[in-house]
Amino acid sequence: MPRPVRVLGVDDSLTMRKLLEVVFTAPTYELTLALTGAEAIAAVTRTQPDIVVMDYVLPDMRGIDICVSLSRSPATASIPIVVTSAKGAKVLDEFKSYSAVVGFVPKPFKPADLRAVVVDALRERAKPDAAATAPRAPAPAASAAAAAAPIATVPAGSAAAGPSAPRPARADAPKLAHAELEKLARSLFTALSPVFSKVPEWLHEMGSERPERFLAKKALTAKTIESLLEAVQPFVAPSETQSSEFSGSTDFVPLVELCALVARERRTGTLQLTRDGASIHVFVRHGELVAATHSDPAVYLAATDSPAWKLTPEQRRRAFEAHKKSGVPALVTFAECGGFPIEQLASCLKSASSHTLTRALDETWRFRWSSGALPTWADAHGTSVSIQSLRLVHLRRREDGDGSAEWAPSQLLLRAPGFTEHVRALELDADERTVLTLVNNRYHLRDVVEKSGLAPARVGRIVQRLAKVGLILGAPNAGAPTAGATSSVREASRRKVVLFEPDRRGVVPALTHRIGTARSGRDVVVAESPGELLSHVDAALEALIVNCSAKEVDAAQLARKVRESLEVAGATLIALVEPHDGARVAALKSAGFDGVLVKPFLLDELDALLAAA
Amino acid sequence: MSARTTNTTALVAVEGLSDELRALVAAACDETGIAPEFRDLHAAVGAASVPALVLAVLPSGRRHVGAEVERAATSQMGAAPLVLLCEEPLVDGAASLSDGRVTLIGAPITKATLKHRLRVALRRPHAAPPTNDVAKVEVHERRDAACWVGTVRAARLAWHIEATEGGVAVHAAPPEADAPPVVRYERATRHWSFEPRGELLGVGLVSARRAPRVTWFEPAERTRHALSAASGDVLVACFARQGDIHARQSARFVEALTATGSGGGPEVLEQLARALSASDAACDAVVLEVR
Repeated sequence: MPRPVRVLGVDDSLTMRKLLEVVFTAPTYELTLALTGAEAIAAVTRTQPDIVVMDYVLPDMRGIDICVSLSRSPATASIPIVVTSAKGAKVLDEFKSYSAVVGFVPKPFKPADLRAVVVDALRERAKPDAAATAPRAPAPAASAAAAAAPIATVPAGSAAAGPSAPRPARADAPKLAHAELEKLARSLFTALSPVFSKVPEWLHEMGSERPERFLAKKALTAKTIESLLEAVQPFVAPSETQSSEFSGSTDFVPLVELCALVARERRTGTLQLTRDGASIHVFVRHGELVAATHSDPAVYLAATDSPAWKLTPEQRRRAFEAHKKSGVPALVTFAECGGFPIEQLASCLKSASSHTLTRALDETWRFRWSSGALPTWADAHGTSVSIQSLRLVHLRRREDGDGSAEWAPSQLLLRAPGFTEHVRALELDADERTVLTLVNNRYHLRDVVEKSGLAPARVGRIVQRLAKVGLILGAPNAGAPTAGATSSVREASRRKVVLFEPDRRGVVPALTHRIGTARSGRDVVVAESPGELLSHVDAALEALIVNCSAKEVDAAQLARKVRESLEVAGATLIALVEPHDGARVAALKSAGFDGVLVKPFLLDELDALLAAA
Repeated sequence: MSARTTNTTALVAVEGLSDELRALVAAACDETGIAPEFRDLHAAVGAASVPALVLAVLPSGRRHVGAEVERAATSQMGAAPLVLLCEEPLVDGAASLSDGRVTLIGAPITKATLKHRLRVALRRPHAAPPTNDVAKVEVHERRDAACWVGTVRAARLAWHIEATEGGVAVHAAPPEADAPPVVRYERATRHWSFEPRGELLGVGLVSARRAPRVTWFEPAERTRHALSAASGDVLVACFARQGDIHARQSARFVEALTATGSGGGPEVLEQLARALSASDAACDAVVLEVR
């Protein structure tokens, strides 16, 4: 495997440094960052980069000063440099005499453009005659496309010009022969077959609703759209499908389903929502929803704006103007002019995005998807917003009535497949957490009601909601399960007890024999180390039994980790201690252990602890 | 241990008793000094003598003793201990219920297991005569209300046992004014407490119901231990003269303890007697088994 390309990025802007992190990722690249010229010069000596990407203006010196410094040493004089600047290609005049400067990228730029310039520069350097290349004059930015240009440049303004930038018409759309079109039609018909089979059943529910609207709502689910796209896929190149645009109304394809669709396809681009003169832009990177903005900055900032921010009225006015005109969120401008620490920008953007999207869930929007690169700020500071979280908020708002109607009190509740992965992405409220902790493949709905202390109707609603976001499954009719359901319940009920105990001869055999009988429905896993112990912590965990007298165990930390992990928060945590450690019982209990057994403990006591759980 | 002639009899119900098990019971009784009286409890035949205990088979899957057995062990015999020979295995090999009144022995039953359980179940309120042939060590055993107690003396030190209805206390020598016993079992609270002190070299606790099965409390700890007791617990207190260079050979005891099977206290006592007879260790030991 070739070693990664070492890139030194020099920029005093956090936004730009974040962007460089997005562009130059491992394992292809090994990125080192510097904020000032002095740091850059020191880093060049220290890391011997393959290429330097530097801003033209730095807090302590200009880019040309760095070039002068590097040119003085034979070890650093030939390291290629790519300059970035918002001042335009005219800055290149300063670098005429330095052959090391091999590229220029105007700000703002697309990540792909910067990467292309760097790749070209390195490829040029790798040619045998590269070392003998004489200093060359930079070409005007506009002629950057010319392959012979000595300094590779990118045309100014080529970066994503905001979500409203019009897309060029597709002149190169594939032309299909009649036979191909017929095949495509058949393929689409096959993809829709499951929908057709359900129509008779749906007609009973239609009532007085307009048929086209009712059927579209029923049929045009994300799954159907996905099937249709799959059907189209063989007839067009994958890249064509990915770059396609599509549009519609959230009346027919709910916003959450729309987001889920682009996530599944790992698309990159912008989903534009419009309604009554307002618009929302949802930015998606490789299927990850990274940011959302509202055209009205006041609406956008409603959940995040803080009087503590140090902004003058003028700064605020300018930020709002920029927000409306260029689509750069006011939050980004606030942070860049020092209104609040730029380190908080990502979390503020996430909060504003969540707020914007959850508001949008209740309304009907026209939508248009456009594939393409994201604006620089979104690439640099956008962080993942969970689609399931949006779905959860949506459900919280929409639900009404008694949730227990669909779930009988005898319903056995199971954790759904993928529970551990899904639960991490959700922001649950306190009651949801309480209920979810009790859903551990052992309790029926009535048990959850009893143990949670919540009203039955509330528990019913929460259970339904959590089922809809894929966290809970109901075993079909626990009273008289079908054969399949029984097997599924049995499968899900098999639980795991993880044991860490250094006494392999005295204690481990006794415990494994006692706990792991076939009738108990438990599997016992003996961990070799506390690290391995934690690696077994997952949704199937029933109990963790740990010798807390072992020197390698940090009992308090272990208990905290388990208790903070929602998917195993309901697991029983049992500490074993050596006889001389008997005084630690109270401390371990307060650390979160359900029980502490001092050796030589009675196996009946262990049984009681497991049974109580 | 040798067979001895005795007037002590055991009533053995023949219902469900296989020939093999009958032979095993006869041999175990012989080695314990008990005369077995095999009888069909359905037949209205009076007992030749008042038996010291009743043995009966508990068939596989059964959770209750038959009415005849119950009658034999209660009204007819004046609350004799009942030993049930189970046809299925038990989690802990053997178990004791109702304050030691009922003993269950799980399959497979061996002569050694049966012999040891009979000794624990048998009511012998006073010190029994020495039960070993090895002159070097003195071995005694007796069963009190709270515990079965066995002692083995190779060093012949001055510790002494105080047994009452409330429990058992072992006092170390030399006596210290107002000093608590070095080992105590309290019957009411079912608690052990012990503190290696004076000539008490160490304490071992053996139980198939515990993890680990054998724990040795080192004398260097010098701390008082207290823990809940359970039926079947065997506690071994080991005494040695202070400064004796052989005192440290207590490790031999630990070895002996770990080899212990499901026979409980009597088996540990035999192991200790054998180990002490064969070694230079000048130690005494007290073995207590909770009923």
